[in-house]
Amino acid sequence: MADNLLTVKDLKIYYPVSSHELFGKTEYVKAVDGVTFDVRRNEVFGIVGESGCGKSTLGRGVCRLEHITSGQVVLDGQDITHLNNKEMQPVRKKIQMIFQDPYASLNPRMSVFDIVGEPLQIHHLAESRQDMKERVLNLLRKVGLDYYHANRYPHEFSGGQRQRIGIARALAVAPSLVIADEPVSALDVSIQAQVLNLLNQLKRDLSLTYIFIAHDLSVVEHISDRVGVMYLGNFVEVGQKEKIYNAPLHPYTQALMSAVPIPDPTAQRNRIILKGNIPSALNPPSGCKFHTRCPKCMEICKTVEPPRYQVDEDHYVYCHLYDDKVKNQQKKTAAGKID
Amino acid sequence: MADVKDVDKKTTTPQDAKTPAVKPAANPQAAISEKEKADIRTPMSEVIRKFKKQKNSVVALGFVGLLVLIAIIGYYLVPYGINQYDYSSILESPSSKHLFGTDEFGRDLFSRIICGTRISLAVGLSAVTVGAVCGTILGLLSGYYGGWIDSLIMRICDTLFAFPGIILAIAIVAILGSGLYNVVIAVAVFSTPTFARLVRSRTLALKESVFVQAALNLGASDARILFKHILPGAIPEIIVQYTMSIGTSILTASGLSFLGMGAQPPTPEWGLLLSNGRTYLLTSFHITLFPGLAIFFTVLSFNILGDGLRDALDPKLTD
Amino acid sequence: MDNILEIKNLHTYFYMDDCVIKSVDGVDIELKRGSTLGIVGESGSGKSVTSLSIMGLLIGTRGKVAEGGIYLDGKDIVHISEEDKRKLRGNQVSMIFQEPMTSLNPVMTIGDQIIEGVLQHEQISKEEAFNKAQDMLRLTGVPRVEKMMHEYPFQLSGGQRQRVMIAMALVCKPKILIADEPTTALDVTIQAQILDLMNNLKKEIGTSILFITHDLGVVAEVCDDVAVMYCGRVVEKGDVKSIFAKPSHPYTKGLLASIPRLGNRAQELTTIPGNVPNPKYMPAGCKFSPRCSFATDKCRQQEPGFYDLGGGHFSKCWLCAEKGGEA
Repeated sequence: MADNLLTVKDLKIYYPVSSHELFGKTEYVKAVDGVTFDVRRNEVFGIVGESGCGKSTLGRGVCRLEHITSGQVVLDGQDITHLNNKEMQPVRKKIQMIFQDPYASLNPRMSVFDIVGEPLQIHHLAESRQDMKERVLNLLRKVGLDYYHANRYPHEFSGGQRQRIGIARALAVAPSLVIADEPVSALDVSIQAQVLNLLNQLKRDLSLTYIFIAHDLSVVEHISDRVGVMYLGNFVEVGQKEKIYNAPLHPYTQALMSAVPIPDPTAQRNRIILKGNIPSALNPPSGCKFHTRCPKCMEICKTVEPPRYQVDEDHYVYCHLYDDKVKNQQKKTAAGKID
Repeated sequence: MADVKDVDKKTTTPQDAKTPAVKPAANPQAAISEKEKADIRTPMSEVIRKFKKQKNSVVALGFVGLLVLIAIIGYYLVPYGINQYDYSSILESPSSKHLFGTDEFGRDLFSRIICGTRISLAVGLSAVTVGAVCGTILGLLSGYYGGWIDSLIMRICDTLFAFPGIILAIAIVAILGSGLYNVVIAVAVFSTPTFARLVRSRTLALKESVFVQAALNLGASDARILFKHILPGAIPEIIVQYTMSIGTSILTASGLSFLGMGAQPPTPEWGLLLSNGRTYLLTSFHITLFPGLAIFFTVLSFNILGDGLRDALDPKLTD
Repeated sequence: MDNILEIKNLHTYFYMDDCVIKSVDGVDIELKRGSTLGIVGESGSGKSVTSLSIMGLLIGTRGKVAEGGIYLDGKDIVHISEEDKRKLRGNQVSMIFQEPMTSLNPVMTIGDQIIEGVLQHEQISKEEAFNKAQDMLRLTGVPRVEKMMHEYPFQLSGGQRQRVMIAMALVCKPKILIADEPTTALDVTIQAQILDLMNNLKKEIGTSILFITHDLGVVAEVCDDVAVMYCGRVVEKGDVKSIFAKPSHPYTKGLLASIPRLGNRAQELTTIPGNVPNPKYMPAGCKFSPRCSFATDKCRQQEPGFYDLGGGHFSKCWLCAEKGGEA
């Protein structure tokens, strides 16, 4: 039994949206609609999906930056779902976040020294002014910055450098779990590679565990050990990276993989073009949420939400196509056709 | 199920085959000159740079500086006392002996106006400062916590906003009694809602910003978030509103004194000087003109200064 | 194939208070008729400024074309009057931007916005313009065209808005379409749809496309030729197959090596060390030399010329001096 640093059970994060009618009932945006998964110690768990799938909300929910509607989040054996602010204080040292927008995640009026030193101040981790200075400079060096950067302000830095500052800030409290919410999406290609390498190196040096949220499939494949694919608030497929990328099972995963542009002009492309747009999370489709766009939709998909099917060791799919009964039926029909 | 990876791919490999054997890795850090390392652009230096570009604001700043200087030392440098009666030279027009002329008691108008600077500035600055501090605190609490605190504070502000400023000031002074202290209170009261509303809207916006989320994620307390992250973000607007309000404040104080509800004679407050001049408007116009000009230029320069500060502090107005 | 657009020795500078920022500093680009040219570059490369220079959209900024020329079908489009430039925009040269939400007017209906574009350049009745707009919108494949003509941008999804932008840009059948990162803000499945659409429309309308992006995967999908830009200069250009198969400039090589690719399981990504230089403190010689593992002293002192590697493949690097003659 693997050692789980994080266990999430049936997590739901709904946002109330007031209805426009006088006595209408409140509607909910179902950003995260019943998500269950584990993250093992020292692994990188990638969460991939398109906009509106709820991956960022999920990451923020795990950090308790979002109000959790129902479900459970257990970190290192401790249930942190309903802790109040005071109880969360020590937990904040264990779980930190790297944000997507390097331009918005740093306070423009604080110097780099103050930004990276703030977590040390909040948690009283420095013994003296001198100790604080040393720790901050150490952190800066760890992320590839230099001493003369400490007195500068965020607007003087490029996107990649700002992201490094954000990483230094997150590492100041020596967390065990780091949630990286699209950390390289806003960066140039060559800088992406630098930051990804940095994250890998830090993981090894500091024994970190990551949840890596992104929409770029190639990036997620590069850095993750296990991957979960999300669509409209639910996981559709979760498993070891090699299995998901080499033989994706869920029709959405297959379409997603086929849509990624390949940086090779001579490659042949078998593109699965999905019809239609992503439905609204306010009024998601019944049954399997993907059924409106699925090229392999069956009758049962329209009404019954697919449970989790275990296809292989450590590979799960939320799709009726993998229901044993359905598979047997298909085999029978195929056999019947051959006769 | 179709294997989507069934593509005929030719992976391109990095062109290391042609790399010459041993090459030292590039050192990009070495290329950064010492000059670049020393070139620090703090937010403050940016603001100063943008401010200096606006000539009329710089002039306004100079004038305000002059006023402050006069307020501090003017009292000691004036040629005549403020209550130096001289019945032999009453109602004299401006001359080399009396730069702005004299009033009905023979008092030198120039000296009186110079000394009045201290009063006007003191009233203007203190009233707005009290209003700004109260308004900021209310705005921060209102915007950050929301709920019933927000409703309560905003309804009070709405009530105060419903009255035109000068009417409200008159009402307050009527209740509390005449005198400059009460004028200060009156102006502070009607300045507070402006600051409260301003700070509340900035708080609401900044509360949602990513760096505040990051601070919450680090475990920052509410006090830290309010005073280290949100308040500094609201300071630019507060400063601008502050300078704009000083003009209104001085005008209101002068107005109240003109009506006889503020400063009392023989205080050389500009509004009171204006009021004195009413009787002699047609004969000795200078008694009304110079206090009027003093009020006019003071308020104008504060307003222009405020405009310049707003443009300099606005982060979106970059080149 | 002749060139529908030629950019010759373009220098676009921004005149700031204390310095001059040379955003584009000597760029030569050719767009062949009926083809798609990809301009690849990262921040600070000058690719967006180049497109703004073509469109004449530097008015109101501190930017100016300091030197060089841009020729559309042989005609100079830089040193002409504002009125002439206005006649070109939307009519012969069109542009679509990265963020369709901010590029569309939120208080005008979709139909009105497209019609506005038509009526600017064609003297036809409003009804004819409406039909033209509707036909163009139908070509972009949006569902329920008639309904959408009366809708507002906020009612549409990102992909639909981008289709509207494409319709607006192509309704006057321009000779050139400049697409500045049109799919960067879109999901990968929607991006696939939009790229497909652009390819089809290009063939149908006969527009040539200038495709600006930082995504090399997209370049490989849709472009016929590529120009790689760095620090305001073109460092390598050629047809897409040779650039990807035999990249010559170290920057191009570094870019190609640093992107994670599906199926590549290497632990570390090859990176280009360092950052793009501060435009105020540009290094002497070759602008890429501080980050280049092949840099020699000559590279650090002198800026290289443009060398012909054969087959229309050019590279701005001293290392190529051995291979071919100067272009």
